[in-house]
Amino acid sequence: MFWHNFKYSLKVLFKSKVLIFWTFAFPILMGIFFNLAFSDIENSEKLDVIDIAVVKSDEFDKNIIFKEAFESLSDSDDKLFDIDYTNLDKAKQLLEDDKITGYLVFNDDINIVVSSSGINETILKYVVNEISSNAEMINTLAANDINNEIEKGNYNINYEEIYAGAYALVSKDTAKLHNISNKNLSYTMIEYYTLIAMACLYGGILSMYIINYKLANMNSVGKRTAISPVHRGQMLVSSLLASYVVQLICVAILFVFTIFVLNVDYGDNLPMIILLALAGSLAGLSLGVIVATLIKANENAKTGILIAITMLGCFLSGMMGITMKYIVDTNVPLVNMINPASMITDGFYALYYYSTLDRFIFDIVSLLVFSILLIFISYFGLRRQKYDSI
Amino acid sequence: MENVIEVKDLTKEYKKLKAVDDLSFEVKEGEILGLLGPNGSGKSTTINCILSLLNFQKGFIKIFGKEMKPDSYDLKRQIGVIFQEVAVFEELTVYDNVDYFCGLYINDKKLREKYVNEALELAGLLDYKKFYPKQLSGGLLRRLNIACGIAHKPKLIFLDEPTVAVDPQSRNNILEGIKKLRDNGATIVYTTHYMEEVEILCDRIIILDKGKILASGTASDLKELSEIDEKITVEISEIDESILNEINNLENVDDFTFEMNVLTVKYKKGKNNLGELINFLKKNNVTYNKIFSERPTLNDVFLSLTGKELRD
Amino acid sequence: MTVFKSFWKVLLKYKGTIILYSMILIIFGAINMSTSDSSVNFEDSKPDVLIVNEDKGNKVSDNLVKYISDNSNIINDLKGEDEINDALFYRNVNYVIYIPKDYGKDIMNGKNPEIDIKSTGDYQASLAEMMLKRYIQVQNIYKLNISSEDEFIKLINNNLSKDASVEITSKLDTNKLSNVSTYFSFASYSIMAVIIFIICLVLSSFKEKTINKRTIISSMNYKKYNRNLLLASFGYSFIL
Repeated sequence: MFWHNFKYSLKVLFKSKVLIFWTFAFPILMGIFFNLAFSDIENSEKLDVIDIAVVKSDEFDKNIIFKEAFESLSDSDDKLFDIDYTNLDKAKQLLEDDKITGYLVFNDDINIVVSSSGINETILKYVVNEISSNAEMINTLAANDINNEIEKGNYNINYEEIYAGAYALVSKDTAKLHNISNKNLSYTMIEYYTLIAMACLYGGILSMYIINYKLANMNSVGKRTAISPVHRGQMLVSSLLASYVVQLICVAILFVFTIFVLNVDYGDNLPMIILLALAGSLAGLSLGVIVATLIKANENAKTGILIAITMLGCFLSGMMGITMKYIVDTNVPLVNMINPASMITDGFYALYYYSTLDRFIFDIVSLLVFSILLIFISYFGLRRQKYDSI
Repeated sequence: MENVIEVKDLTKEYKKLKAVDDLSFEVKEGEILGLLGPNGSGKSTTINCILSLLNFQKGFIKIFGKEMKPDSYDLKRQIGVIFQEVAVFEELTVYDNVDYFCGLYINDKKLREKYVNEALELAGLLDYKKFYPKQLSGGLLRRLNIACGIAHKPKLIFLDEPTVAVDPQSRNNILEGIKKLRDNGATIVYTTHYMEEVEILCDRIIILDKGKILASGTASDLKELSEIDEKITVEISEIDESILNEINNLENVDDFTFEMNVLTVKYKKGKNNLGELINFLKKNNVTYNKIFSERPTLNDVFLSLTGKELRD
Repeated sequence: MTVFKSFWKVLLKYKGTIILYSMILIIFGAINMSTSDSSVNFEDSKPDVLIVNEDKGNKVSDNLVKYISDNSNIINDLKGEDEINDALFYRNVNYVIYIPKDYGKDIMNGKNPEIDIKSTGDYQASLAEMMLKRYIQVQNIYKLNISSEDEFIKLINNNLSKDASVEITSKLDTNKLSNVSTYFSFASYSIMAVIIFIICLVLSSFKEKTINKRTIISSMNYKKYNRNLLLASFGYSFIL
């Protein structure tokens, strides 16, 4: 009877067009939309080359330090600026047309003219300040050297050599910075993780659908199965197993799709990913079971409630705005501790971003506890075999 | 003959309403028992209580001599039910539906295949094996409903209004099928509010109203309960008011009505009521087109017991 | 005409939903809009930086901290590497600087100790790194001729206090313009969403099986029926 019921439950689930859409097609469609929306966000984060103009003048020509500095900043492979050396009027025009971030005018001082405040403008200002401060350092160093020579009694001073020496010293990049950031910093991945979480939890619709068929007060088919000589427990377990299998298949398809078509990065730990998917699907299944047993409403209402709970959970775990997860995690962490969507999303995040498994294991355990608790509560509702009205 | 079902003092209440009120009856082996009553009389509730689907406040139910409980799996194995609502999977074909439900009772694959085909044959669905429920008409769907309920050849069968909204051909099929089942040894409890079916089919009839048994017995026994013994119907084009009033003075007449050119006269008893009425009409020069006599129906029984019609 | 009127009647039944959705979308739009500041003077963009200072109390290290603090937003309330990593991931912090123990002492002794950093790699992080590199560069140059700690620090600060003047050309207040344009681009989505959703709701009740059957067997020309529905839909969209 167990495998008989299992086989037919599988058949029923696979043949239901509505279910197949929500659990198979919908997440994949969402994934495609995400990809279209997010593929370019992070590219635009990195520092682009900044377009500027320099107004040609005698003062600029005399200022060797600035001249050479700008040349090196605009000439290499990883250059910072694209510089247009032109006259004042043309520079003003370029600025008005938004073709450049700003232009520089060399008089007694250096003037920077920009059209608005922003990061590029700040970087421009900063570079100018840096060159100025370098110039000052070169002068100071050279002056020191010259004084030293004079004190030694050497009046044959090779100014060129001294300045060159000072320049070389100042130009050398001596800052020793060691980048210890975690690799894998792409934050749009979180959106895809919430998608997997959503697919896992939508599996609840499957388990809810199949359980409804076994509840005498929900369905006439439920009545028929209630008066059959099959042990209730056996009936329910085999039906739920069938829904779990279908759910896993759809999550697997989603994984394959996101990895090979959308190029989502889940980190390197395949066995752990599978474990997380299994635990997440179990959580979704238990959610479906508890909605089916404890909520007294018709089938459509129950489906609506389950979808609402799932979407709320996904929202709080960052599906409609990545920073939502961060806001909830830092301000109301308890909420995301009981939110299964967040447990799943966070598990993927931990696998992707962290090198140790502590956080990941915490998420897995949370999911299992969540599932067991919900199934346990449902058990008391499912045990009932006689009703007050059907 | 053993009692297949024993119901004693069954009482089921929904809040303040007593759906079933102190009901007691038995069903003997091999008989077809009809539960007759208008909508809301407690027929379906009684069946659901017997099947241990509903809680009840008072009473005792035995099936095959044992108390019926939700986990009486050995008893359930011998029971088949056809509910009022069609209970099939929309996603499975006709064959798969019958196979699934039969499979909850019969483990042996070969035996089950045989039973399923026999059930489909009994229900006249062999040509529709690969059809989905959505593609079937109302009558065929009902037949599928029945096939699912009896495929495992149960000894006790409950049919809860199985012919509601069914075309006449399907209905005949169903009734024939039920008789075949009885002939094969099954005991059947049949609920309906169609008195004609009950008269054709059932060995014994129980009339229910408001959760209580009004009367029980064979069809003829029940008809005796009617105050009316005979009903004569005449199609008359026109008749004088004075002549009409004289009809009451005829022997054995209980009551009469004249509506839309149809005269209906009800007689309490008597042997030659038809002859006497014909003579009366002749004497008064009343011309008529049709005249016929009939015995009282169960509806008449119900009417005299409750003052209501069976079909509201 | 009845069809046209019925459309509006059905629509009015859903007025609660229409109002709710419109409100939600207006609120979303407003939230999205409320980010830019509208200053006319040039303001430095400041990156969000976290400094983990293992060398507190040392004047040289403190000076570095002060310089960075003056030129960026210091994020303070993070404890533990996990929180820091999370903040970096969600771009709440762009750059993290770990000042090692005895940094100041090592500098005074002529050494050039390594500093660990974490970076998001975006614009703000690049700016923060530029700041840090510049400070260290200046520090390393001046440390070649150190007389006293205070003198050293004074020289560094002097050099770094050079600030070029920046002028903003007085254009139209682009901030307001950009606000409005953001809102309009968002509003187009919300308008579309409300229109599509409500029209679907209303038309689906017309297309319901039993009602549709009645309509088909009625004496109204189906073209006229459809035309009326279309007209009403456009009318609604236009009003919205």
